[in-house]
Amino acid sequence: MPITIQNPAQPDGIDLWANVLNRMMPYKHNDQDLDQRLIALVEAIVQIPPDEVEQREAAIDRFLGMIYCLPNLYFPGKKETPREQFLRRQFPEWDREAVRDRILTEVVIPKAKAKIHEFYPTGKYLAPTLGNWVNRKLRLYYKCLDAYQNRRPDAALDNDQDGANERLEWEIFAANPTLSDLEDIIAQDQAKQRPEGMSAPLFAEVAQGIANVLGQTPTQRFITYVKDDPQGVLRAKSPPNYPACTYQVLIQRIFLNQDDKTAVAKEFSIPYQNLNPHYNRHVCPAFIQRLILEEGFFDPQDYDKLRHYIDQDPLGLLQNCYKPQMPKVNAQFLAQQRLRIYREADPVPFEDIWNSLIQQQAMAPSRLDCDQLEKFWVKTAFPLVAQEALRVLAYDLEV
Amino acid sequence: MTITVEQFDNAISLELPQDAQEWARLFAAKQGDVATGKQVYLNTLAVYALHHYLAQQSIESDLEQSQSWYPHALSAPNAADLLVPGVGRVECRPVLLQAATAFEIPDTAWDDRVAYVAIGIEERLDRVYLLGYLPVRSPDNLMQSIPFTQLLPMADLPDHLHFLQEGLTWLESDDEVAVQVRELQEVYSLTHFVAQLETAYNETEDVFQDSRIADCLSGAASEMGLTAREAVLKSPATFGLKAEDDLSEEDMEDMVGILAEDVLDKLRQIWGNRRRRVT
Repeated sequence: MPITIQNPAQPDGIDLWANVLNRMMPYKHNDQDLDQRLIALVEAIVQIPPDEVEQREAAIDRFLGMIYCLPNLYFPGKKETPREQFLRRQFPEWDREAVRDRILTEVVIPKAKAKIHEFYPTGKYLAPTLGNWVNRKLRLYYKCLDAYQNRRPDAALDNDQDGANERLEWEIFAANPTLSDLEDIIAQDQAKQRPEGMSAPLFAEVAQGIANVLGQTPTQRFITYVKDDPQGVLRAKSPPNYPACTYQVLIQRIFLNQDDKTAVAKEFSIPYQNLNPHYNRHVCPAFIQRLILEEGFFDPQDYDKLRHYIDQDPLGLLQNCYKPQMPKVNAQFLAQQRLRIYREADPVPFEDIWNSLIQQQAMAPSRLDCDQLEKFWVKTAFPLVAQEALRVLAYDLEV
Repeated sequence: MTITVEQFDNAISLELPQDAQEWARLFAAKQGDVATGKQVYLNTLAVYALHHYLAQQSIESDLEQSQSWYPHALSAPNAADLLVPGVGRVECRPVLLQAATAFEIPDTAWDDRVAYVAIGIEERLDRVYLLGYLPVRSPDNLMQSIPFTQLLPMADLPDHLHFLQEGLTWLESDDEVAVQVRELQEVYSLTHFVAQLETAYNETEDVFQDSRIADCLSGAASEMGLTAREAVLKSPATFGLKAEDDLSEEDMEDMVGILAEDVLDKLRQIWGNRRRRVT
């Protein structure tokens, strides 16, 4: 149904807002309040003659202000995609809501004002269609993800044009990705991650240097401890039949120096298929036992991080490691009882843990005795906790 | 001689969603050099492809619990595993068609996997080809390069995963034989060990099955540097022995042989007479 344009045309002969209103009119009689409100606001704009600039700008601002109220507007954490979850886990301290608000106010809303004539609603309702347009076409969603990923909101705010060029290149590639173009795209992406003017080989060298330094984050005291091994515990242990390959050597080589396990296996003539599980099942637990039970090797925030990871168990690995048919007897629960990072005093004795589980009716006494509980912790749960702890700490080092 | 997709009668063509490229790009950008970035990119596509294919077959897989989803220099830049809950980790290796001459599996990928899938990649990256899969091999039969002719049809992978799930459910149970097996072998993950048993069971004539399973059991002990005697005596009560029992090495090997027969009986109950289709 054509509408009556009550205000004179703009200097170029077309009132863009009238066209916008025209496209919105099919939604005028649907049952959504928000749709009615949006249409009324655009009608208000159109009714003000373009030469009454101030009034018209105020009316336009009122309409644009409604964008903040759109129910499906991208909001961090509302309904996270796997990619968002991944980024959030990487940068937990990043204030994503504040970044999103800045991007919305400083980039996306002005862009909406400039490009509103490109808005063609097609959905069943007007408001969600407008929300999708802002999220996708005006790229609120992608700008936020780029900003979280780079941890540089200014890149999205101040350098929008360059960002658009980069995205365009990516979009062309993504629409028709080919093996031949892959190295160029990766080189560009990696270049964005390194400081301006630094060559790729130099960056790789510096990155390795930083990684090596970060690999020693467990403080010099800890490194000295491993090297000196004052109680001789790490020197005394080795995989069966390979006495030269002590736990001390393995920790120095694999954890501190980040040497490749296959290279270490070759050097000591141990089959890799033997060394790797042994490292995971025996060396890591012994190692973490030292890290966690001996005081002062990590900073308090590292212990906080580890506690947080165990409590949150974001991947569900610890809670999923449980005795068959006894889900409460799991690696997370036992870690909270047994690890020194949770307790100033000694770990809770297994007998007490066992009694407490019986009282909670988490298991029947006949199904699992105290020795079996201890065995489950030592053989299954603690190796998993230890591997996860190493993974978490090592991954955070790289970030 | 290099290969083309036309050489694989049973290959499955799969269009990848845009998400796959986005994840691959994200991970590749975090690597220190282009070569590693490219490897990570292709690994991510391969892992995502299998995840996508399994979803189409209504089989759940978990990207977030796979090592390949955290590719960084300090842990596993060349990881390409996909966790199938209740089954184990499937290795997804990208194979560059027109360039590859054999199915290459790095040393680091042999351990703790339940199968290895070859994902063919051509010039266009938005489409891949699931060429086939390889079951776990016995530890004395590991090779880095495997002829493509040894791949099994991809369409059989869902059944294979189902077998492994059934086997794992048993091995994790309180069944007396399962408990003895768990005590005897500690070196491998249970998922990987079930896959070894499955290979021994499925690739062997009936009369040799028990000796292959005994090899698996004593092989796991010897991987830990233990003789059968030492492995059994780690937890004598589980095998109905007392610490002071003085049994010879031969006696202990007999005990492992008897355990292998018990395991075989259990596996026959679980897996019946099913055999893999061989190409």
